[in-house]
Amino acid sequence: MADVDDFDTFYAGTSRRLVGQVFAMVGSLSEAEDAVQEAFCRAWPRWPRLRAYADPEAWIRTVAYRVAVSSWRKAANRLLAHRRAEAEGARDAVPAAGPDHLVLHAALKRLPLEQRRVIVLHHLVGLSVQEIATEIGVAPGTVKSRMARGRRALAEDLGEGDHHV
Amino acid sequence: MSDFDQRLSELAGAAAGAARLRPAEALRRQGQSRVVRRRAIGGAFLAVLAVAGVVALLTRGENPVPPRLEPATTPSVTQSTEASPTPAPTSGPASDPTASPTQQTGTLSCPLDQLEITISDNGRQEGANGHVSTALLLRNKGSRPCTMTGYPKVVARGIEARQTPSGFMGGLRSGQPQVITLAPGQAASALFEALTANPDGSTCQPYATLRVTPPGQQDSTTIAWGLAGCAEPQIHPVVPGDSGRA
Repeated sequence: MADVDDFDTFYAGTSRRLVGQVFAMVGSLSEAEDAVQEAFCRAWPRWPRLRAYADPEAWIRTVAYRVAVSSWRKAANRLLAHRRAEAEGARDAVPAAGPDHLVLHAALKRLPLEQRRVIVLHHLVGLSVQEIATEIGVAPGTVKSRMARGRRALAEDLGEGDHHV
Repeated sequence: MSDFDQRLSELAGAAAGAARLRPAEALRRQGQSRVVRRRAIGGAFLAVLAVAGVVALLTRGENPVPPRLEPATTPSVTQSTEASPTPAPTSGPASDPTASPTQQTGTLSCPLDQLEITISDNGRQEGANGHVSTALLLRNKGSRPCTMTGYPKVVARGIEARQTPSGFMGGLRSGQPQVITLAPGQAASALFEALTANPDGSTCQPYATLRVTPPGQQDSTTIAWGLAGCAEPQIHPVVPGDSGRA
């Protein structure tokens, strides 16, 4: 039962934040919701092992991201998502409020996925270059160059005020 | 940059707030049913499944253990009613390695005025994902031994910390809380942890102080707390050593 409580507490404490992070990475709220919940499903059978690790949240984020970008899964779920989108209207586009958010969301979506991912891991999650490198399994130099290219593209996209992004 | 961070954080926060999530129980059931189903298929298909599983892992990128995660060191604390529990192998100045906490009966439990309660540097940890922890160090400053077991009560900004065996940052990983006997000068510890943002991602003000009541006592004392934690406080049981982890 300790495992159950532990897992549920972890889910309650982290799932929304993770949806926000994955949403920023993949650009779709329903995909982020599905992917994060799928990652938690996969986490449960291996929970005793997972909770012993330093950072189960990073595990969930990594799995959720892979689930979200997996083309295999996309194909399988496109129909479902489509139906749901129809049923729920355009809720999925951007859940945010202001025009500012729309602009940012659009600019992020124009970035290649891998650049978007490191930008989000750094600016939203707050990871260092080294931590990002370990989380996504590439060299720190690669992280840096993706981040630099992503920032440059964003700065151009978001206009003058953001040149220093 | 901070402007960008702010906007990104608002965008993600809006998504987090709008997310529709199934209850944890439903996800557990779904995760479990897949395992059961997988086992049922088992038997003759095992080898085939193993191959398919490897392929699935490679193609779908489901990596059960991302490389950055390292097993947390979990010092084993033997749970026994007769033998004296092994102190966690910590090297901090707090625990006197020669005076191992022993389980005794007939010793009085530690009252507040016999304890010095401080923050232990050994339990301090600031995770990258908004979890922080420190160990509360409870030292016997009296002249006779005293005992304690279970959870301190901790109140942070009017909210009583949830008493859980262990949490995101550690605590008592297995077994029940022990009865710990503190010789004069000896200390035990309990891990306190919190989030550095609200669960919905919005920001919150760090707790400046914690009000601590030792296990089984009525009186409390207030201590300063220097970390960024500000939501969902949790306290774990008193364990031997100064790291709050066992």
